Amino acid sequence: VAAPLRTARIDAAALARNAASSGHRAPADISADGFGLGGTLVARIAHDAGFATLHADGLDEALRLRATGVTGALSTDLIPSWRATEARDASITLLEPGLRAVRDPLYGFDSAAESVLRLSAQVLSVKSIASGDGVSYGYTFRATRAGRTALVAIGYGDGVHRRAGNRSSVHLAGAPRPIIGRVAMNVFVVWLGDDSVAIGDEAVLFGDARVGEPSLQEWAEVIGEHPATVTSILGPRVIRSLR
Amino acid sequence: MSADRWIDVDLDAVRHNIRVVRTTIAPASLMLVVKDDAYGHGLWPVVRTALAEGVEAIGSLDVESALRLRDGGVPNSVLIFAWQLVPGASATEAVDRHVDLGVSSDAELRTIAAHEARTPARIHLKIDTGLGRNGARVEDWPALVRAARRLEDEGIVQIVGVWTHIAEASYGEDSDSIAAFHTAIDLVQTGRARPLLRHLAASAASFARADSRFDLARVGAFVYGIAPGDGISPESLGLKPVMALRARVIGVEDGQAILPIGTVDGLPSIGAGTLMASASGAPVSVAGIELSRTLIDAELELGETVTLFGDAARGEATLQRWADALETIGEELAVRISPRIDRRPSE
Repeated sequence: VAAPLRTARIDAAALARNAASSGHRAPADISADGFGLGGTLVARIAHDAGFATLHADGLDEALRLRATGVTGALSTDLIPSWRATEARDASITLLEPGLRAVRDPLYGFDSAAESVLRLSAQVLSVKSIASGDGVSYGYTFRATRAGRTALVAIGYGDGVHRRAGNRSSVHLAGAPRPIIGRVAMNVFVVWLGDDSVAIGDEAVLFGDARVGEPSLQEWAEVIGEHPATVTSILGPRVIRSLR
Repeated sequence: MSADRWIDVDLDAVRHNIRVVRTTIAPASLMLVVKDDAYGHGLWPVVRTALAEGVEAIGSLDVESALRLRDGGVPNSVLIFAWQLVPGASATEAVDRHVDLGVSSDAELRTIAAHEARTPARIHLKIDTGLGRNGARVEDWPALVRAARRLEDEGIVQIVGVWTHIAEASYGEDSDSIAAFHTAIDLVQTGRARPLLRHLAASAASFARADSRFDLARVGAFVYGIAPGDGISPESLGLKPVMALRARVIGVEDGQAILPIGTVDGLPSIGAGTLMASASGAPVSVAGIELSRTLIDAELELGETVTLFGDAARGEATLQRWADALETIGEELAVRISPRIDRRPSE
């Protein structure tokens, strides 16, 4: 079986260590389906680490998580008066005043915690382009010299912000490679210069800074988004895998 | 079921747009592009509507989603086209299930040629006429065509189409791409009796230029009523927006109404005052979009519905205005709305 084109690899052990070293009095935040990692997975790890309560912003999301099998105490930030019965029937309570759900240290959204998520996509093709050639819609990039480019199988339809084009870089074949031209719905192009890479090679958008990959915080900062937004909007065609 | 935030999907608008597109591009045919969950609108209601309208070709990005369409009952008489191929993945099932495959390179051709189906793989050869993404470079085109013809002679593939995709950077450069496409077609067509399916245009070009239409136009955005922006609205093209994103006021804080939807649900992060929404047919200012909530600068009732974007014909804020204000395109905003938020088709 061929490897998936797009992979979000979740380091469950790192998530567990982050969960163990957080305070457990406030609930663990599993909003937005565990910020894109999977609500039931994060719920299990948080429970195992000693969190007694889980939290989701918004009653709709709390009810959705219940329906996917999240058990135990579950709080939310606001319960509209007309939905009080619905919340009570699902054992969803209001967040205790003065408490703030634990998010950034749990998911590695701040640099003090371990990174948990690594996003990568495969190289679909490699080509040589000539000086002056444009790349992608509107030709917002034009090559100033001849060189090679690689087409990477992920785009804004998978949650990569369109403004990453001509701005962000990915880690590919041992070096940072700038995204050139506009990010399309399902692909973007990176500049390789005189280097070449193999079809099927993995381009890492963010992951482990210790091996040269952009960190999630760096990736988020370059496009001007909160890391939680970056991970939460990864689409369903990005295959979540556990390491 | 999300009760406090949802997307209304207007299937009458889909029907209307399909008819407008088909009339506009005739005699070329429509290939309806349904990738990315029908641009975030929800796949099956859109596909059923299209089939009922007699749409005969569907573009579906990859083999996995193409097979799901066959599994769900799209008959073999409807062409399904997939072009983002997993490197090295077997094409056998795609060929068996009558999925047409886009081929950009010798590597892809060889992978497809290894299929074990009893019938030839139906392939559409792709030329890069300037976009610089997939497709064979002009200098590599003759070799790709030769290799495909050899496999065709052996009964392993059947060349059914030739295609490309243009950059829409300028009229002149698109004309250059169209000319290069003609040259590429000629090389494949020479000595063949059977006509090829030739396709180049996506939404914008298919409306703007008759010389871009060839036999098929691959249209997604316009069927969903998503206009190119920069002041061009769906209405100015005769199209109706399909998606309306709505949320209920669940709280009021410092005179601002709180909606339970934010950037983690796919909304864009913005500066205050950049965007307008609407409530009870009147415009209201979006004061801010946080991770999990949106603040509206208006005195609204608890439980009241706010339309973040919808249809200008109902006096609502629009996706096109949001996209223009955010210097992006409507497609990006539409496909990013989380699948956790219900799509409610109008039937």
